[in-house]
Amino acid sequence: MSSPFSNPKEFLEVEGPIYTFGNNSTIITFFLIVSAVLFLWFIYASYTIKSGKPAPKNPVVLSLLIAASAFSLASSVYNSTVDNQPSRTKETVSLISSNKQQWQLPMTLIGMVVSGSLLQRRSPKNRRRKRKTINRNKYQ
Amino acid sequence: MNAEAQEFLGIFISESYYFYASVFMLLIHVGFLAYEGGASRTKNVLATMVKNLLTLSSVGLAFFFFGWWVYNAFPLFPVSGGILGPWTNPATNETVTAAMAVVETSYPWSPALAPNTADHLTGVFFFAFALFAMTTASILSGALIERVKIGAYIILSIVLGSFTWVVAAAWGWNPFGWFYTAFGYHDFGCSAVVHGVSGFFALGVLINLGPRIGKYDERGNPRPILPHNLPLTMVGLMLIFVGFYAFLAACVIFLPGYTRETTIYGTPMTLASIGVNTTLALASGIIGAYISSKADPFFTISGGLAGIISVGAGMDLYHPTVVVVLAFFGAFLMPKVALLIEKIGIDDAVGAFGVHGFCGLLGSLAVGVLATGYPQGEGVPLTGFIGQLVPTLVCVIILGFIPGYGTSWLLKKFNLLRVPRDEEIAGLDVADLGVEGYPEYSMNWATSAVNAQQRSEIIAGRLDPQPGMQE
Repeated sequence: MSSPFSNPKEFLEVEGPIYTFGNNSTIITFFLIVSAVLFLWFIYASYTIKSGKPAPKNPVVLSLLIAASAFSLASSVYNSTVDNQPSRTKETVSLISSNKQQWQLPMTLIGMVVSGSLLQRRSPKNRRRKRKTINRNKYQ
Repeated sequence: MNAEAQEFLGIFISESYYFYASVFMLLIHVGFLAYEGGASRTKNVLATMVKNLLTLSSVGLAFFFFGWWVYNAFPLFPVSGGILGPWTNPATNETVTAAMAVVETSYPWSPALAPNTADHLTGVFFFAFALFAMTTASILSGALIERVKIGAYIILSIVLGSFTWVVAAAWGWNPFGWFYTAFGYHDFGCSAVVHGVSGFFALGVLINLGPRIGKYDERGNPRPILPHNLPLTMVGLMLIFVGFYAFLAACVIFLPGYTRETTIYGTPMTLASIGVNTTLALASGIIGAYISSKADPFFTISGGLAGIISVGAGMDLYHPTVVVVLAFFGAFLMPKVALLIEKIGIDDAVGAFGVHGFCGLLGSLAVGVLATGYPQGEGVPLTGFIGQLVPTLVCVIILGFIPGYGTSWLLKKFNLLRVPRDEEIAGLDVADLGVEGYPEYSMNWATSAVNAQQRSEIIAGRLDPQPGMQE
């Protein structure tokens, strides 16, 4: 049962959450992890799908690069939140945050660019193989 | 503010809410116009758009003549009562008494629909439901483009938009409907009631209509017929998305004196949940179809619609993470279903069955798995898989596929379904309307047999133009 309610009165007069699996945080966490995996798959696919077919890339290397980029971005967001202490003046927080962002944002971008540039590189063998491949996408 | 003014304010807010939600729903038709026009070939673009435009007339008037009454008159039939009308005694029992109060406002001669300061709400509900009906019929129009007779389409759109869909809504969406009272059926965003019915209705028609000339080669293998304007198709779908937010908002019930929003079933919900869940379903559906179709632009943008339809039935209950996963799943499978349909010889020009039929079926059944066990009212069964399965099958088979197949079979027998071969080859713009969609330009390139590679070589000057082509 995904319903957190046991009778109509409880549901019809509820003041608060009514969502599915509201009484089971494990399942919500599971769906959240699956959602995140799908999102990462989307980023990975956006690099690999070219002209209606997946490009022959090393998925392990690519996944690591995407994960590194994502962690770097998350780290910059997290640090800017942690630095936002009430004891500090707004100017100090702003300065520290901007200093950190000056370091971390380029690192994030570099990670993304490296991922992309590696995807662009093809060995001569792969290049030959690509020419021979028939475009199977019927609507292109 | 005195009490009288406060009471009027409550009425005016409800009236305004449904009025503007319905106005925004009209954007769905702007979207369908662009979507189907772009998906057709140049020789059929105007005929396709005119056919789409005529949906507003055929369904709009038919819904006034009998569709609105069907919605209010059929909820009890045939399980817990008869069809309600002027012949019904309102004092039969409490349910009939309550239902008849609404039935009497839905006759075409009812004063409730005319300018009437005593009734601000019947008219805006009629408006909203008429737009639902037109949307349902428009789903059919895209599947049939480039070979159906306009008259045949108008008949089919009336049968679907003003009768079979309305019966499905009366049974599965009306608070007196027997799907709800006997099975605990829950379909907040009309996954099966609108999309399942129309997608399967379209499938039935397509079997009798047959594929477009040139769609299949001598060995029966499908050949691509490219949209003449894919960017227009994509803009059209974006407009449909905008309209869909309004469509789902119009599914919320908020009446004067209410202290909370409810679904049509009287269960609690929030407009905010539609905002979150529709947005996530759209986003997740697009990526599901993008990955599944290997970045095919046509399927990718249709994935947004597939995602919303896949979660529509339980959108008022699902947690956002459930929406992301379910919308992805539905949209991921949608291109596979569309290609399977094409492979077995059914030429569905815009993939209407995959997007609406399949995802509508999936969305309705998903409530029985992912939102099972919800109580909905005293004496109403809990939501569950069987409670979703039986009504969904009734929607897609009895109210969708069979009427679609039967009506189109009759039209085919009287030679009223499909345009003649020479008209189809010449294009329906000239044959039906006597005017080309793009008269300033030669369309020979688009309709000739040369492929894109040859055309690019001609443009580059490496190949001479072939006979019949103009530079």
